[in-house]
Amino acid sequence: MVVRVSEKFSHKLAVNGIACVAGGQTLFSARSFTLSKGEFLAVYGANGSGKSCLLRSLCGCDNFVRAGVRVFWDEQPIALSELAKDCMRVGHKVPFLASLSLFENLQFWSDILAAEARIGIDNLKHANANFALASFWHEPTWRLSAGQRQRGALSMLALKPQASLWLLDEPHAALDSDGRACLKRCIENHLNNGGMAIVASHEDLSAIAQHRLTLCE
Amino acid sequence: MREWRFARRERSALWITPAFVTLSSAILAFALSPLSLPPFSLAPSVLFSANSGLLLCFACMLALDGWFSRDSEKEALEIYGLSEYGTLLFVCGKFLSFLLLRGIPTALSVALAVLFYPRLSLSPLSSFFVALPILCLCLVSIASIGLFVAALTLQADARSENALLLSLPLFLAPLIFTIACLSSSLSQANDVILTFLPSLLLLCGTSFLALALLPITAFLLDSTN
Repeated sequence: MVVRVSEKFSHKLAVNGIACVAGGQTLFSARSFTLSKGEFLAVYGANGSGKSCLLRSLCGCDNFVRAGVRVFWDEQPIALSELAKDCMRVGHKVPFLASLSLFENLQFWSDILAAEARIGIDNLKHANANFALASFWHEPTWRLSAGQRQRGALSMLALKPQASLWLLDEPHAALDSDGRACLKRCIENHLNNGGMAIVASHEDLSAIAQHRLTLCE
Repeated sequence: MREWRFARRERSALWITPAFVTLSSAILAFALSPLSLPPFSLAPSVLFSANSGLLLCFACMLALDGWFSRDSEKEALEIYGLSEYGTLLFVCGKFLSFLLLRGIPTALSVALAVLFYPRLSLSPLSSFFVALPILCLCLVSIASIGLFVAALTLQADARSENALLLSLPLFLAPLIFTIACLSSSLSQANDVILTFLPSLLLLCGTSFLALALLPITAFLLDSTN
């Protein structure tokens, strides 16, 4: 398996007093956490507790966030919307057009997310290798199983190598044991390179998570 | 490129707008002449121009509905926000793909219909080459306004459907100036309100102003996330 070694990251993230409101209801209030390079935060909570809202807020979709949150990137205060430059998020839904092949969808996103076109082509190859997509690389997305689509969605992490912060929302959903092993390797490589990861999941991630955040209803 | 691939695979996307224009023209023409007389000989120039302009407008409006909903449902809009280019590039790409995939086939369909009209002040071929750029200019306005309305409808669930209704009058200005251009340049009628050059200048001005809606559309999409 090709292991991509990117340039080392060395960032620190501190979030103080983040609270999310959706549909007029407070999902959670006044949560704080800190992440340094190579660290992993596991977010747990019941359905509807705001795990997805937290991740979406951290990548700039701050419609859910109450005023009063303070975010520090490398100990400098920044707005939540500015974190988008340094993060990459994989959510519940797979952003692929069903009638296009996996390769065509990823090629489109690599053009959007890569800093330069030449780098985008390399990123595509790494995306393919990291999650073993070769066997269905040119299949239209509507023909793929849920697990195959999820692998394709997770491979988008390789399309923005400049992102030091990964935000993963239930990444293990629909993955088989092989896919889970690929995901674990990718996350470990990213952390070894100094990156940070925040993963919302119902899985037990205590083996690799240095921090834990539990959201209540 | 992605929109072109999608339209090719979906197959219906390319032909549905000209088919709508053709079908609506046929239905409206026969509705005007229930005695089955030649419809185009009965239609006065303004009515024909208005018909063409209206059909163009409605066809484009129908084609634009939900232009962003597919991306919104798949959370693709949020990923555009994570890129260095942001949402504005995405909106411009949608604008160009709409013009090329839906708008130009619609304009060609309507301009071809002009060839069958007997009361033209110019030769049929000249009329075609005069009508086509006028319709394309109208399309620039309608595409910009339509994308703005499509971005508003994404927020309609959270705000109010009144936003959609209030924005429909935005289509009137380019429609009126398009009809005026077509009437003054193609028809032999004396009931033209504006001569050709002023109406063309107004249509050009409307199109340029409508382009200013594109960054506002990008801002609306960002606030939808």
